Amino acid sequence: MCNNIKIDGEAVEFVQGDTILQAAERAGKGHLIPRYCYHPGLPIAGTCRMCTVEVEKMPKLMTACSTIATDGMVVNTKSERVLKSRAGVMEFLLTNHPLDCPVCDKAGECELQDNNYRYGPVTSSFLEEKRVYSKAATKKLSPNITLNMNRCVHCERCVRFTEEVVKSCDLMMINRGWHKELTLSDEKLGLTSNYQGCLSDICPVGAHTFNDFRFKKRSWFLEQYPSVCDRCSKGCNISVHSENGVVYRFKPHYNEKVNGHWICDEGRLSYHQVMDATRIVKPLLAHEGSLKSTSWELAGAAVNYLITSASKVKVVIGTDATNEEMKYIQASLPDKFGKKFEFSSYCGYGEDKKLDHMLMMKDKTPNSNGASACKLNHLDGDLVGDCDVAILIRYGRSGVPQVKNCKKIIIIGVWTQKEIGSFGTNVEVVLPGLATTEKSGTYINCDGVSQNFSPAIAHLGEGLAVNSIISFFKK
Amino acid sequence: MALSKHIKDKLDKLRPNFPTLQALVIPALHEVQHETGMVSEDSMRDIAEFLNLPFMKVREVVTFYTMFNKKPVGKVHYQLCGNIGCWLNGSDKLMDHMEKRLKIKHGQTTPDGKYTLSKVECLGACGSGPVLQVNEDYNENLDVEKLDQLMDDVFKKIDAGENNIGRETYNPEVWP
Repeated sequence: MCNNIKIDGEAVEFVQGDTILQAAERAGKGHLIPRYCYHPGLPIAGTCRMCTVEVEKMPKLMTACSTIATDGMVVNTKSERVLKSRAGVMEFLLTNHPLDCPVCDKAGECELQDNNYRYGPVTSSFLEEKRVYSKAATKKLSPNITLNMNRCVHCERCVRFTEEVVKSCDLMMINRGWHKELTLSDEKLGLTSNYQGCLSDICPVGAHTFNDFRFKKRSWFLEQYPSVCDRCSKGCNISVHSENGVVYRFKPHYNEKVNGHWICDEGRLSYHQVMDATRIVKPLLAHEGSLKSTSWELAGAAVNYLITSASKVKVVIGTDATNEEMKYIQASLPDKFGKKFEFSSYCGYGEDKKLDHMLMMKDKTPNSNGASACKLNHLDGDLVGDCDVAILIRYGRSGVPQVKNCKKIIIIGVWTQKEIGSFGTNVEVVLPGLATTEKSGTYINCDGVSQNFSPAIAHLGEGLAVNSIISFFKK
Repeated sequence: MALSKHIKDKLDKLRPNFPTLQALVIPALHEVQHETGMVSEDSMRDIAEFLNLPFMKVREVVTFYTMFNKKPVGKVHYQLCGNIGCWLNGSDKLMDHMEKRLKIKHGQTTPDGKYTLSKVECLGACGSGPVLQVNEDYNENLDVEKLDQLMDDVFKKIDAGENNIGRETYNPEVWP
């Protein structure tokens, strides 16, 4: 049996149970149907009436988001009736909207703006005074989210998100009609979920804004490149928004197998680590009791001397290195200096387990499974020691191991000054590496899904990929 | 304050007749309002706890319907419909008239605690608007004269110390 509907004269296949909108999305025609209340990750509500389409032999316009597609349906998304209805819906949505786009953080990525340019009536016949929620005009719902109720179009995406997805039930609509207002269910508790950033993502207008990004950057300046979040072993897919190599935010990137449409706040805010002001981005060399910045050649020569004169070298690779890096380090160091190396991996978060029903994991490093796949044994305890030289390789996520009975430490990767400070004066050389967003590689997540990624931003310091770093160690 | 045993028993008896626990919220609210005259935040929490629902599920129902009193009401609760059918038939003029006569704004209670005036959503009698609900009873097809007559009657009844004003036809055992 073939399942076909016609959308604007073109036959489109659908899966049994699809709504018209889902069938259109499946065929890559989703852009033909505007929507507010519909979101693929949320239950269907059918309240905004923006997605109405004309279906042949049906007397009324139907909501594409909630009308089940049946074989032989003929759908028209561009008829005069549909356009008139959309213009009407837009006019009503804009009657109470403050139209403060110049100061609204969502401008440029606002569905109300986009749809109004496409389908709006241009003029409005509304002459009365606009409804103003004076108390909720700029209301902090939590340290992460600011609500501007005047901009809200009452699509209830956020309510359904807290109800059905994170199941915290901490947002609700009170009152009805003209007075309908979004509030916290319990003012004392506030927002309790760890997925608050998603509220700002799914909000089609500027009602929910994420405080960390609020007023930082206009959205149209941002370049977007996909990457993988390295804040925990889940490896959620993200899109990195940056300008001139500076990351301004992470947003979730849809991946059905890993994270769906969402990411947690911890991961969302983890870009600060890449942009940390105390991150070391120049090679450093110990000189007269302190670390001084130096050239790659000098640092490489120092490493060369240290390793050549040592008889036993322990290499600890954090479980935040990519598979490629782990394999390369294990192969290239013995190749250059002979068999004096002992390799192990270090995570620092103990046994991995799920922290909630959604995405967060206890292991805050992205590649513990990759380390096992690269045949690296986990470090026994938290101690590295009893060797001439310890090489610690880590990319900002795994814990910092302790070093004992070893006077010479070589540090490679993404470190902050504070993290290096814990080793005192034993650090001989620091070689900056690239963070996840700056490099390419593969991580294997907690469910065994192997994910490749490419650089999303250009590194702004002097850090190098691990193969380039090792190329400075001469034989 | 937890729900009274009477309400709990009644709700337990109703449980099998309702498809979900959420469907029991409105009967529970009616019972609480009948018992205490209003639905306080505490009783909303009690209902949520008793029916094993998040607090918001009860609160959104209470705030959605104007028939649930969120504040204590006077002895006589005037509820005038302000929706389109009644409004086209002049409910706004009746509201002005009542506000003047009772010397309060809608949503307020007189200082002596006798009258509360509310503007409510559709009462479901649009064919005979404007409609005024006095406690439980409907008064339809009103105009200013009929309204004055009605308010005089109510005044006399309060003066006479009558207790079930506007509840002559109301039988709590019939519903639900």
